[in-house]
Amino acid sequence: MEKFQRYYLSFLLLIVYTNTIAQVNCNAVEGENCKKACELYNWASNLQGFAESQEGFDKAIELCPDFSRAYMEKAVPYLKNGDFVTWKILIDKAVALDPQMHLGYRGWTKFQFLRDYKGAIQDLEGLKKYYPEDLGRSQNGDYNLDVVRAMSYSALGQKGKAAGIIERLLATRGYVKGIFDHYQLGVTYFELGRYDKALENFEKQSKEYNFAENIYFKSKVSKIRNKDYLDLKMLALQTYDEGKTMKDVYTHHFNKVYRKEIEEL
Amino acid sequence: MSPDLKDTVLDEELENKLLQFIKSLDGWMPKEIKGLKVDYYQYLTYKIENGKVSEVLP
Repeated sequence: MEKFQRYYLSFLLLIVYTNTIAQVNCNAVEGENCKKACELYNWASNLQGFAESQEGFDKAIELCPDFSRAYMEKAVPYLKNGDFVTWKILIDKAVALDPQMHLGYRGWTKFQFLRDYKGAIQDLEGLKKYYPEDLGRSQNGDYNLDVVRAMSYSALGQKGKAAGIIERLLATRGYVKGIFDHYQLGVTYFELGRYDKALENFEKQSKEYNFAENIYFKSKVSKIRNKDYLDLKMLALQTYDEGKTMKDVYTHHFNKVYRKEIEEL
Repeated sequence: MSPDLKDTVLDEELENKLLQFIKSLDGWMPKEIKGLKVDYYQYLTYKIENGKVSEVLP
């Protein structure tokens, strides 16, 4: 099977998996009211964004005020609608009740939606206390949360630290690579002026999954080295027009490149 | 929102500048589903540091 197809297949399985894990086995919940709250939560989770769903979470919270998942799921539509203030109040409540369960999601969201790099690092390093070996994946499945921590350090100017985190991860036995790991590491090395290491990672990225942004950075390295870069630039534009770019349903990716930037190279 | 993600009041002058900028954008692509044009919205997130826009997120 082509690597690209394999990636999409695993992504599809991940979606099925994440939808499944949103459902809770309410038989394991203690107390009559909390069991009812759990059932309401399961029902409301399937109607995300509708008024009756939000009312369902409210009832669940009323029945079992310590049921953290209800606050977390109630928060999600506010995030997706751009009402970050209300989202923050609710997600903070979920984290306060169960940090082990919700710190990873809040950290990822601070990074993805708000570019609050310091806040993301704080949450993800808090999560390390519970999961020192493996922080788990970002909500969209694209990254290990340690890569998200690395990108946050990179954004704050700590590029060496960022590269070190990703290098250590890639060298960890059993580590499941994210689809953009080598690209993000390559860009970090590029920003450090370490073009050999940057190119090495862009090449590895090309072999696993190639896209316009990766080709654009290869072209940039060639230009800096006074080599012919125009063929790569044209290929980046062509790949961009074919739709093979970094995509995210809600915002844009860290280190995403737009067509105009490729044109201006 | 403030840097610690709490509700805050935005500087009025900056708020107006951003609003005027957004109103000046003209690249809105009509969305079609099964050949019919549909209503939709998009929000933009501006990250502002020390009075300057440092990032824009679609």
